[in-house]
Amino acid sequence: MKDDVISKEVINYLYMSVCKTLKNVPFSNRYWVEQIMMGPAQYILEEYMDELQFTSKKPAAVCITFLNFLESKGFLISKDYQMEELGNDLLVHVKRDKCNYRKYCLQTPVEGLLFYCVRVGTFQAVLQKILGKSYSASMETDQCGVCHGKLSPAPNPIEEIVNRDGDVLKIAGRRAILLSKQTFASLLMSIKEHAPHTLKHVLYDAGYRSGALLARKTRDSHPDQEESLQVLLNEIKNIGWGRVELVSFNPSQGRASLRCYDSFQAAIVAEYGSFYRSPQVNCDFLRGLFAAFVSIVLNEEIICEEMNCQSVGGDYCEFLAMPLPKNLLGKEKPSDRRID
Amino acid sequence: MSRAYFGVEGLDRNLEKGLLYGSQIMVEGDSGIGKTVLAGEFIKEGLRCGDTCVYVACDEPPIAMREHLLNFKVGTPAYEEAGRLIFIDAYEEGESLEKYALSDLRNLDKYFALETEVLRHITGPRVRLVVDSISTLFTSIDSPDILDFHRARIKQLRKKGILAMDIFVSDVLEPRLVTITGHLYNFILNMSFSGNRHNSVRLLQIGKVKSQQFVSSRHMFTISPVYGILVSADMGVSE
Repeated sequence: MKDDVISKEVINYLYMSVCKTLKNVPFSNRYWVEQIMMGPAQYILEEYMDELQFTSKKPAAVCITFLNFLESKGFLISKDYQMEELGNDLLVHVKRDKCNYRKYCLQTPVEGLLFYCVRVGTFQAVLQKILGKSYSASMETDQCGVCHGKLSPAPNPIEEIVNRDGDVLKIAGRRAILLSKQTFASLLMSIKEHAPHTLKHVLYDAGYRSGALLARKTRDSHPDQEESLQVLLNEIKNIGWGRVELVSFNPSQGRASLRCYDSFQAAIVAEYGSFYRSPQVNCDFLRGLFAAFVSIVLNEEIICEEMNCQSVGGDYCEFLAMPLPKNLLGKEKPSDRRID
Repeated sequence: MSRAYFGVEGLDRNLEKGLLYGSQIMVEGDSGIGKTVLAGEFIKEGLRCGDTCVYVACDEPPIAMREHLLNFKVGTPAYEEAGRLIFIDAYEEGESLEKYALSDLRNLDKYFALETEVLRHITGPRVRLVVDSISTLFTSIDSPDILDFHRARIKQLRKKGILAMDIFVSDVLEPRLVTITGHLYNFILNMSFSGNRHNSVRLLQIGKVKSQQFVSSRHMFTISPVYGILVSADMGVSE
């Protein structure tokens, strides 16, 4: 095996190893994967800036200059990549079998790992360095094996939702704490004991308020609605509320169908028993959270219902978010519910 | 066996074993006392428990109940789409845009046929039915016809295991007719104002008719725009 072949394999395995490790790390893997994918390009730019001649400030031209540089080092063939600008977006197309990272790309879904396209990560790093702008990125591969990437300017720098600032843990820039299931259950039990009629309302409202904070933060850095929602759902998993799958999302109709596996609230019921007299759906916090997510992302008042719950025998908790009927629209708008 | 509750904490506390599906509840009360609010709580609880809920709107168009539920953060479109919340319009006659509407408000046979038809199409295992208010349907109908209709209807609901709540507005029907009709129900809830015009309180009595006597417990309650019906601590009054 030639040296460059084994080197490329090692790089692919390195990325897989990173994703495999991050799978077990709590808190927002996507952000860290993105940072890792941008890292090598940042080092290359620093070391070889003298050799790189960025004569244009157009995003496509900047990326092509970088590709040409990599071609001059024998790392890839620049013309394999097609770049085009569409409005403010930069589109990139490449056949997957021409990409150095195809092994990582093909293997990550097989192993159930988080995937982040290395090449778009490279472009994000280059654009940030040369143009001084943050870009959010997405990549999809069609049935013919052609990868289509999209880089869009992010209005605000992309930041980690969950972060550590010295000894202080922060979520969406605000100080946060970790709660055990037992601690959260004890809060619920206290509410049930002192004001049982408020329990559902408190949970829904608390979910909505905290969801709105997260969603505003995410919407600002991820303008694409579906991407923004996916990032938020990923955060929910990282924070520990459950693994949420976006079954369907139709922004024009204001609808979203979601499934939550291993809901934190359903787990509490499984251990501590139901908080209600008859078996019923329990995940009011998540219901409020999802209502806020979809409302903020779509900038439209959305209400969310839990149609089935793991705590009453479902395989997962099922949520349906829909807009308020036009003739039933209340006075309250999502933006009115700010608590900051 | 599944047991159901009203979804009103202070009320449910008094129903140790809950309500059996197939039982019928009579709710009688003054105008403006909160009967529709109670109906909303009952439906809300049913939806959370996975029941299919049917609401028959006789005194207001169905949109009034949709708005009411929405005020309590219940997104009716999701349940309606899933076929778990069904409205029957028994208010607007020919002007109704609802899927199910009663064409002749003074014809109990037509109502019976429509209710039967709606219930027949429900596939869910547990059903709650609320008629708000059934006394409106009975207005201008002769007492013997009402009793015949009611006996047949309740027998059918019981057989099908439907948990039904029939609402009666006080002073609309003859007291004797209400008393006789009351014997057909498993539970009776009386809701009334008490006190004077300057300091009135809402009272709620829940009980059963046993040996010609109404055995009940009485509770004071208020209506919160956020939480719905709030029943005060048991007043310990027994009649």
